[in-house]
Amino acid sequence: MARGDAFRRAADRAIAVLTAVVVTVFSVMMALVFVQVIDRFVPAFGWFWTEELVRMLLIWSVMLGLPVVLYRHEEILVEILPLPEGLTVWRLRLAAALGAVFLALLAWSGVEFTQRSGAFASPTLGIARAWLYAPIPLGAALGIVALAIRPRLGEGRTLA
Amino acid sequence: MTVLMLFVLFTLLLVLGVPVAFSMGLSAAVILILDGGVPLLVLPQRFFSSLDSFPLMAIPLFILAGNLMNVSGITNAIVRCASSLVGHVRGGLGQVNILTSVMFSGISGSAAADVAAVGSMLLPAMKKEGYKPEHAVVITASSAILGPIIPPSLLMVLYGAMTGLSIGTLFLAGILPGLTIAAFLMLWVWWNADRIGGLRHPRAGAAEIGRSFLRALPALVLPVLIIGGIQSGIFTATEAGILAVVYALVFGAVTGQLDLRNSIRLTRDAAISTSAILIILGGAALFAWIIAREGFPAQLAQALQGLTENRHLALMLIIAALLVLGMFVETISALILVTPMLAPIAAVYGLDPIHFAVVVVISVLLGSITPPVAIILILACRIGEVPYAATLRPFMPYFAIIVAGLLVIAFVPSVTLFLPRELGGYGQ
Amino acid sequence: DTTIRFAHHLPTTSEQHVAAERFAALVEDRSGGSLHVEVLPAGQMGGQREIIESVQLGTLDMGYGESGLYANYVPAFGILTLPYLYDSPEHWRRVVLGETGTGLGAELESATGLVVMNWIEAGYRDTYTTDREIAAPEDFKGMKIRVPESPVFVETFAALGAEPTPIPSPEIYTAMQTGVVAAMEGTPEVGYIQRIYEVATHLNKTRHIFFDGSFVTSRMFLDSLGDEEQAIVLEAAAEVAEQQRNERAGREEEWFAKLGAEGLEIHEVDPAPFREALAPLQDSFAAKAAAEDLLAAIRDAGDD
Ligand code: NA
Ligand code: NA
Repeated sequence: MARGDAFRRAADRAIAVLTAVVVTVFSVMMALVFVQVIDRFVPAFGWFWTEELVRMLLIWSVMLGLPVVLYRHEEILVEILPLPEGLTVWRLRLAAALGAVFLALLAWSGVEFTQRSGAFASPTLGIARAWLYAPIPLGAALGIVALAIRPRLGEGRTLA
Repeated sequence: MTVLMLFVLFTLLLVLGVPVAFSMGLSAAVILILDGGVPLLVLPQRFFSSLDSFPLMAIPLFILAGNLMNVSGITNAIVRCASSLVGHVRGGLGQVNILTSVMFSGISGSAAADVAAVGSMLLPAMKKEGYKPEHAVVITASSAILGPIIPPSLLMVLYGAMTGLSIGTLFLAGILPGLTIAAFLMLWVWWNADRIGGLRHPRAGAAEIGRSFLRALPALVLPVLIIGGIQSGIFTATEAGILAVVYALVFGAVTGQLDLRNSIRLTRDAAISTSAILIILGGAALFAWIIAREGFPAQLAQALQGLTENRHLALMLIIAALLVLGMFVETISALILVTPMLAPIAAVYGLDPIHFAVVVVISVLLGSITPPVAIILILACRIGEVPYAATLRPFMPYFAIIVAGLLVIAFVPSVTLFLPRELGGYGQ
Repeated sequence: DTTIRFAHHLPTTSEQHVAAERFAALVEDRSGGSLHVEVLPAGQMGGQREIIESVQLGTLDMGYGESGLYANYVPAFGILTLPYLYDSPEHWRRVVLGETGTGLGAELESATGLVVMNWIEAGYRDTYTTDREIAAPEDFKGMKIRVPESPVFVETFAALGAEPTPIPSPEIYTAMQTGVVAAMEGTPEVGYIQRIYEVATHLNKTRHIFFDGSFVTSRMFLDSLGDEEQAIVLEAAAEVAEQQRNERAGREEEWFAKLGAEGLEIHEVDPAPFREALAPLQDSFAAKAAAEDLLAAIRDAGDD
């Protein structure tokens, strides 16, 4: 099983890197809200770009967090179908496959959406809207990868 | 027809175990593909728009603040304070458990945080004292739902973000209904103390009360700061979230419980929870878009009006439907699903939107402890090491008690609206 | 049979919704029922920016937009809502129904495929204050005023010496009540519906910005209709807009009467000193959007 272990280690490491990115985005976002509150009382920075930037970071944080959530089996779902264990394995595979189908639709249409609407400027940052839209197809595509490589439920979480 | 198919598909996917966000998204996508008239571009567009909202920032903020508070030793201080205040009352630690949840709800925005913190603190002690374990677990779960009723509250933030209602007013509106339900629960534990095994503790002296009160003061002051700050317009609900985070960081640093290492871990956990929760908004936005495009909210309102023109009866029907929904769908998902449909109906019946919001939130929350899909109750069972099935019977009376509280809140609007009117300048 | 899905973000009591409903009836009637218009109000289908984007992408057929939003695609559109730009509503009409308006519309269509179908008057915006009357630009000095989150508003009030404070719309009432801001600005309809008269003392008719609006569709959708249907839709849109323009001033008077009856002191304000104070701001916005010619043309079309 050494090959399996090596694969798991590599997958864990990739997810750990992605998690670090998410934590960074998330922390910067928190810091910016803090700056904005300060700015309310000591006007110095100009509120507008922080607000829009915070919203952009929230989208990046949520969408890049999605593959991490899926890899760790922390997605919110409902467990009510009492099936024997043998069937449950297949049910979980089917559920993951259907989830992947949705993510594929989202990623595919997300690329077109980013291309078609992404060229126009955002109101206050003045950057291309593509920066706001890109995390959607990106997160969805990474989500499919996470569904494919995640450890089976109950195999134990290898991440700290 | 389209809407019926949408619901059937959604339910099928949900039962199969497809994540809630994808169940909503995929069922909507299938409808779009079958319809053929609308480009699938609406998928990423709805995902984007549902997340592109500044008020939503309150959610990661309050989650992070809750995580930080949990390790900062504040829970312990709250339990001691509650203990010195009500430990000697009939029901002993059961009363302490409920009062702790009331105090804890002022710093936490979710029931899961409450059940984890209060449960791990009090369940071992309750069992050791002779409380029947399944009763101890049920008390813990039932009172944990106070977390998102008493402000701050993730559910109120979501409701406000979706409907445009003032989050500050919604926070204020939750206080008295939360206390009402707490009072109902405490009365029931008092009445039943002998059967469920609660021991009375010796009455604490004034010095002990004072000392424990001082130690819990930081936790008790925070909600006052939050509500006061929002109500006086000094900051918004989002900015109050930052205040809570900074407060928790400072408190944890002072008590020495927080260092860089666990701060990073807690931030990571908050980021992951935020993702897991907010991704549902994307799927739900798509789902709601189809429902709105088919004109379903109007049809539903019409159907309901066909059944009854009486607003009280309509409210009863809505509560009943929400309780059933909550039995099967996780709380946040359920709220996100129903809000765009129900809010317009409330307007048709002339129900006050803030009052209606509080009734909806509590109804959906009750679902989180009602089997079969009772996430909060299951969590409490896991912490209390009690088999889930054993709690079903003892849960019944608590369910009835909370429903009774909910009906009081539903039919006496001033329980909800008194504080918003007096302190928030709400309404005529 | 075709169903035209027409979404907007405004309440069903608004000017714009009334116009949309009239449009629906007119189109249905003139097409003999072969065209059916479904009006989806109150943000059910998303916020205003999202609705316009949906029309562009083809996920909705029609929406309600305004110049401020079109400026995201064609920056020169932003010029149309600069403060104190028009001498009167007639001046505005000459601009938007004339070469300036049609030229900008054509630019928008070639950039995005969006088609501006008509011009609606959303109306003048005035200033509500808690503690003082506004008669001259100096009266704004140091005053905290709530403004929408848009650069034109912020820079306008900053240029007048006020402290513009962006506050989310549902929190305006409390912010004024508790004195976090001493003023807000908006149309009389908003002032009445949000019960601003309870927390403000003065309504100063500063008339600082004249807001426009329009029905918007896409070339893609129009091309999917037959020639005759296209004509029906476009003519109906133009007709309901004209009717709206003729009726708006009267409805505005009704709102003022209601606000006055609630005890608000209403003051007329001489626009001349404000216009003078804000002329440099008009120039700098026009320069940023590379629309100096346009600004000159609008000024030339003035009443005089
Ligand atoms: Na709370
Ligand atoms: Na509790």
